[in-house]
Amino acid sequence: MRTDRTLAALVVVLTCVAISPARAEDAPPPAPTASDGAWSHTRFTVALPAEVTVVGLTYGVRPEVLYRFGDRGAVSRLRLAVGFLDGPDQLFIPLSLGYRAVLRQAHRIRPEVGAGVELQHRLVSDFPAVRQYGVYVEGGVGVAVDDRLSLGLVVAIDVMLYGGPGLGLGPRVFASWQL
Amino acid sequence: MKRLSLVLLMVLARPALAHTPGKLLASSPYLVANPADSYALFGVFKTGHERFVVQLSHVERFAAPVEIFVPHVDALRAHRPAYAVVGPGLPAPDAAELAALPAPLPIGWGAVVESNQVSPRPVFFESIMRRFFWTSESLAIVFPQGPSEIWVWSPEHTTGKFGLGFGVEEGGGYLAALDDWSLYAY
Repeated sequence: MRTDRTLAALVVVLTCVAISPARAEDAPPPAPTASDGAWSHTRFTVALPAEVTVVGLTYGVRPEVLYRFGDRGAVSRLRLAVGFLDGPDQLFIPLSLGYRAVLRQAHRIRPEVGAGVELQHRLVSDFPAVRQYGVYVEGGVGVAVDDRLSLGLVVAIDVMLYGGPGLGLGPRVFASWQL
Repeated sequence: MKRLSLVLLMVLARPALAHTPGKLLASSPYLVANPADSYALFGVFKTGHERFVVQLSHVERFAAPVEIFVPHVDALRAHRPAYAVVGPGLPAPDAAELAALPAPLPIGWGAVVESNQVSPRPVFFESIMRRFFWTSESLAIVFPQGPSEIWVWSPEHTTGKFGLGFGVEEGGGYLAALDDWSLYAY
């Protein structure tokens, strides 16, 4: 009798174990928790690049916000950036709006390319602000540290077309964080 | 396609219109190859007692703007190099101008002296190198037919970088700035 009860209990347990995966597949995904990294990712990424401009020496940061078009893994992003760079003779404040493609996102090494328009402000104490309008292209590579954090290097070239012609070059290192 | 070509043409052509750069040395005069071209020559006063000389020769009288400028940085706020265009056929300087010159004027030469003392100091932005400078402001000077020189000196014996701009026609040669990037760019 005792053996029968033991066998019955074993059958019930085994049955439950056997059918539980099927039920789990049918069931809705568990509610996300704050510790679940994939849960809280949005389409936004913020980045803090540190930059040195080679033509017209300035150095500082150029914070940027990226908005991803599409689901995770999508290549295209809208980029908005505002720089605050100081130099021996000027304060440089560029405002950029453009497109950036982040490639090979399933890999740790992720090339980036982009282009856009840029408005550049240059300020000194005893002269009206200089404003130049133009375009930029950029290329670089990011290295994924974890699911959210990336570190990398980007080099941007800008060509100012209005407000005084000029060609600029700005290498920058960045840390980006996917929100 | 035409629009793309136009944009590319603008991008490539605009930076080509620039002053011809050059490096001024106190040890030897700078010989101007084509005095009609626009030059931006840079030098450094290391002791404040140097005299920089630029030598030109015009086939006929030639009016051109001349100005001297220094980088817009705090360390050079009091740095006001002066210049003089000297040569035969130029007006005779007055006593004060003659006394201000850094060297005796050869017999028969005249001089146009710019002491660079305008206040407040004018500022200009140079978009190719993307730098701000304090300038003496452009002064139109009629260069005589034949040889002439531009002398640059530091009346208060201040030290530091300076630039001398003169001439009219903008053209190529700007890539020479790559030969001594820190002199022109910083």
